[in-house]
Amino acid sequence: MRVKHFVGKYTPWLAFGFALFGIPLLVWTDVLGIDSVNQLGRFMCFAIVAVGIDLVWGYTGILSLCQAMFFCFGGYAMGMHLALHGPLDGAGIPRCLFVVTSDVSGFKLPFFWEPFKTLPMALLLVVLIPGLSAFIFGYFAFRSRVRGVYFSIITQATTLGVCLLFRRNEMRLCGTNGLTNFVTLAGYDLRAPEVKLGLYVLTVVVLAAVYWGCYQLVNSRFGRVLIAIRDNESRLRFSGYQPLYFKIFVFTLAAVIAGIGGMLYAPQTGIITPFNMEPEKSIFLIVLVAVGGRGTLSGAIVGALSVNYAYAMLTSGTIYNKLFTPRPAEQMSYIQSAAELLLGPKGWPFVLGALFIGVVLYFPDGLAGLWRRWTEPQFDKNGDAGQRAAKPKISVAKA
Amino acid sequence: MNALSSHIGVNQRRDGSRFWSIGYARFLNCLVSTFFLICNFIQCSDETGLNKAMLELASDSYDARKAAVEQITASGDMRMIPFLEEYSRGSVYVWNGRIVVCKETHPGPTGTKLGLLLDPFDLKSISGADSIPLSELKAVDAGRKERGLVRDALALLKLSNPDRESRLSAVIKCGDSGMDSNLPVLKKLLENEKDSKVRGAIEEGILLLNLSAAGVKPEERLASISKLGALHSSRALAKLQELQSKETAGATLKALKDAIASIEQWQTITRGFGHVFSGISQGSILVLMALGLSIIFGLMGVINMAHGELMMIGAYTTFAVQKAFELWLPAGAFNFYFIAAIPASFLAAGIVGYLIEALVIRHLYGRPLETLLATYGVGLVLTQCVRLKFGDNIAVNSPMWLQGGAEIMQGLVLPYNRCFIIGFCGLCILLMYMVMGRTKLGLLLRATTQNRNMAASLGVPTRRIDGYTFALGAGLAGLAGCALTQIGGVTPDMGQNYIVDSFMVVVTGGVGKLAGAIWAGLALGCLNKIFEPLFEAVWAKVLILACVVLFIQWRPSGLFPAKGRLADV
Repeated sequence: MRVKHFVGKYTPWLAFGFALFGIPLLVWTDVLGIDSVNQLGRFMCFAIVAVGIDLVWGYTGILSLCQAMFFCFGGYAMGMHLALHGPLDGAGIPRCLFVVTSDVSGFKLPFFWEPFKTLPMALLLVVLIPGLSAFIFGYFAFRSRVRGVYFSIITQATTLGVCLLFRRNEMRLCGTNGLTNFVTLAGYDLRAPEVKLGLYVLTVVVLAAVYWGCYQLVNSRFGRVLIAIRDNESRLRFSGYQPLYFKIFVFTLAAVIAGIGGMLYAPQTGIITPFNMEPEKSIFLIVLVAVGGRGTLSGAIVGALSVNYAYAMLTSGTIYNKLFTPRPAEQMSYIQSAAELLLGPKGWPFVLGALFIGVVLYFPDGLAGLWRRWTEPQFDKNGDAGQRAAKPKISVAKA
Repeated sequence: MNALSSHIGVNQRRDGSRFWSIGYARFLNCLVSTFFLICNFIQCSDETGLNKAMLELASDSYDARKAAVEQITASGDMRMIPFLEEYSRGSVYVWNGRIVVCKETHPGPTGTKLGLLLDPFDLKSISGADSIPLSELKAVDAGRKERGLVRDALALLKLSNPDRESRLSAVIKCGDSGMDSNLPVLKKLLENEKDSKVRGAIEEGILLLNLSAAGVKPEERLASISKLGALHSSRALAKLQELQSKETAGATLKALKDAIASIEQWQTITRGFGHVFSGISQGSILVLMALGLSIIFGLMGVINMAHGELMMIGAYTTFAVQKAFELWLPAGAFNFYFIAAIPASFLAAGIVGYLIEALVIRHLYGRPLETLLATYGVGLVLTQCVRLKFGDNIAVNSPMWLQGGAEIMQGLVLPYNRCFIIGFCGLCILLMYMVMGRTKLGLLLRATTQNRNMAASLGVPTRRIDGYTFALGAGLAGLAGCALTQIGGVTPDMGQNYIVDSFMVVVTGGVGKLAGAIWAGLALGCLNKIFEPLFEAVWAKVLILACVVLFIQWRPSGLFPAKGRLADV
């Protein structure tokens, strides 16, 4: 029992230490290729976003379906900076913008690209753009007490609208092609393995910082107010609190976190497109948290990494190809055709759909719930599964 | 057969050889009229005579060929239209001293090509002549001049086509040609024409030709201009504008301006009506979707993200019914497949909806955000199932009785399929009101919506009501899908395109309100269609989303908010 307790307590530190030192060591000893590290780095960007979503959904009970939009705001801000330092065409126009512009005679750089020329300004905007837009949106939405599914639907509609706008060429944001041709970041060549590793380490550090900050937040008095908003907003209001400001703050904070995730994502993938902010992407981000376990920050990270790995493995057919030798459909055994349907690229929607349904129906606590049941056996005795879903570790003091 | 056949001159050539064709047409006009004033009474569908004329096409002399084309034209025989078309394509041959058409060949035994010969009159294969070596055939080639002759001959033949639609289009072409020689042709046609629509087209054509014809008096021209304006003739608009830029005389200029203004104003009005009409039909689909969503949300507090997929199931059921009719029933029954598809799509979507409720949603009672996620997962699975089964692109054909449209005013055509959808939606709304207000299910449903616990304690089987309601809402989505096949594309992810829109409708109208869903659906549909031509489609959509988000600021519970105690739920 003591061992389990120890494991439960120090796992975050162990994981962080391994990610920060172990992985670079493995790369250095050539056990791990730089591309897998790059992939892990990208997944960690999603983990950063997932922590923000957990804050706003898991703790405050606001299901926001526009986190992918904030992610892209951050990604685009960084991407515009990178594109401006990539190959330029015409009068200093980034190539990705130049190729989607039909009338290039006398075409100057649009004014809103100017601030992104310097890195500090771009970094500032990475925080400011998602933060401000979330603040304004949140202020108006929460002020008129748009709640629950209404809020979810409105955020989804907003994401759809913005996504449609970003696809237009006349917005001067490179249309459906998105921002590409990233070459250097602060003078470093983005294709060099060391720079990729550096970006990965940076992502790990940022993830740890975000995790630590949110952990402090949810374990403070502030965090208790958030949980109270989730569990009974009316009662909180009657006790003299003003939920509006808490909600605006936490929504804005989650947006900024999503923007930072996007900022780290853009240089590691080398491309950012409106595809990254389609409404489905926001729901995908939600499922990361749902699988990991709502209301536990570490669960969000675990969920983000595991679902993304599952996605990569299944859609590339890696697992299926390991288990079966490919052959034409008419020669397949029933088992193999079933496996192809579930483990092959065609089966991903089934897996994702099953994750949505299964997690919601049977594992409301997600992976973190399973883990906690193992490390803290006494947890199992309290209440039934349904109540646990509504009340994670920290419970509100009963009035 | 018809004395009018003796006039020629519709010319659609656009390659600049206008002078030549006008001169030629006039010449031909005189020639043919004199010729056929004489032999007008001869029964011209006489096959021997036609056969002879057709053989003449193979003659070496141009004059003989020309005379042959003229004779064929004068016959007024509609069977000659396809033949002349084949002739100008060069698929006419002489074989054993008779004229034949040959369009298809197949390889013969020793590398030769064998042709399938067709009868020149009905283009059906000649018995015993389906594999004739091409070497036995002598081609009857149509040169550039002959093709010109044939083009005019065809236009003339079509003017006297007994089929109303073809005659109408030929008349319109003739009037739009802008050639003086067509004026007498049209005037003569007017004397014999019975059909009012064709008569209208002919009169319009005469007025149009009056604008530029050489021998027209100025006052007659002026009258034509104002008459065209009064007719709101859209055909005349371009011509009038062209004249306006050249005209100098004050009175004519004023008449032109008035006429153009009147036509343009009329066009704006009809276009506006058209947009509103297609907006209402688009809105009808949204209403059907939103009705289901709305009663489900009102009753159970469940946001059904799979609603779009239920609509998709309705659409694919329609497709399946269509396929079944094609495969197993005689061809005549095909037109009625849509009648069978309506209940089928309602049932299919309803059954799937009932299963979703029983297997997933029932276990998530009171957790709306979780149901949102779970039903999204269901939607993903359904979409992928359909995609694997049917592939990405299928075509649903409209039955004959839904094709075409009714022209209720000059320039305003209401397509039958959209009319049908509006009527269908109205019927569904009526039935929904009947179900809600007049049946026991409706009574129990309303009771459960208002106060679930109280209803349950009075013996209402609330869980069973949930299941039925969900099936009913899903069935409505299925009907929406069925209707949508007539005006939109059918793809596995079509639900995704509609789900956000229908949520907008529900949110705008107020959750759980039938009237709210109806008004909001129609309003959003119309707004969409009105914005679309003003801005681009994408901007229109963004604008509408922005409108709805702002609207929610103003009225957070929609158009028809719940009042009193219910408001707090």
